[in-house]
Amino acid sequence: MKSAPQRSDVGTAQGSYEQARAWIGRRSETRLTDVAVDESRCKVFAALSEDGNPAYWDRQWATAQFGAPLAPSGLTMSLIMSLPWKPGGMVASAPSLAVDVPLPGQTFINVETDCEFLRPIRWGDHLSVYEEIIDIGPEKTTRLGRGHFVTTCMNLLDAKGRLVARLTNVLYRYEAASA
Amino acid sequence: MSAPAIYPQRLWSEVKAGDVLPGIELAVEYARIILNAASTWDYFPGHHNPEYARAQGQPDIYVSTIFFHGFIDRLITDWGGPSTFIKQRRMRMVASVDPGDTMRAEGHVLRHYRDEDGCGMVDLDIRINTARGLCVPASARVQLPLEPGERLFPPE
Repeated sequence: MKSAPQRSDVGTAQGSYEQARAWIGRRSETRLTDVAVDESRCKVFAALSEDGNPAYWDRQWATAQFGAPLAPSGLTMSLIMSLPWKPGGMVASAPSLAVDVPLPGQTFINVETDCEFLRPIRWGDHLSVYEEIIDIGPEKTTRLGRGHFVTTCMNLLDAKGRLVARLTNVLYRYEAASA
Repeated sequence: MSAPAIYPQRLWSEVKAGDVLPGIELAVEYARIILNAASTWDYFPGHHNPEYARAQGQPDIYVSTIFFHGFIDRLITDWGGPSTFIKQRRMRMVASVDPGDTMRAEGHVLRHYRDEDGCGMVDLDIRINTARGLCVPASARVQLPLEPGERLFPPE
């Protein structure tokens, strides 16, 4: 029986680059996100960037135009995040396979995204997601420290199983220079 | 049904390469960074815990990826209108945006063309700056309506 890897304070699995390389090409299970897209989340997000787009605010106009008000496309990456706690003591899943990859380094920072949208996401949509590890680079030193760039792709599906968005993300897993 | 008057919809035929998007600005305070992280369920401590952010090598807590996504998309739809469909957005975070900064997004039209399906497409070059310089170089590919009132994604 394999023992679970040690994890940092922010949940990154600890291991070697050699162990990590075996994760390239790995794909997660498809999971239903914790909640459906809702009005409150969309409006708070739009409010914080002072975005008055009526597609997010004007129910009558947006319903006539799209069938329902839309989620801001900028919110899409948030829609796959998990609740931090659930009744019954369930452990929230890691926000990304990039955190589950065993690598050296205690922390991480996001560095690059490439988001493709195939159809709009509406209030009430309940999305599913699966993720793939695309690449894990060799050790690189940056101004922040030493670590590895991990590229993942998150695929979001609607209730009919149609791909609605594909989010490619590069995360830097590293040990801070000051550590 | 036309777009609400304060958010007119731009047609593809009204755009040309070189057009400049009106810039937008946002004052970034502690509260805005933290509230954004909370609203997007991004509980990573670099967005709410200054001590953790400094241990990471950052000067303070910093704006999240998803916050940048929203700010870039606002630049695009403030210019294009509410029926603008963002088909692709790419960005790199080369410097952080911290409490006390004002972030400014600006952009211009790189290319204006029809895709293989005849859709009206526009490629945009976008930058987010603070007073310290460039933080996020980005690009986007967006679809605009060809005719007034055209619905790119009608109700299902």
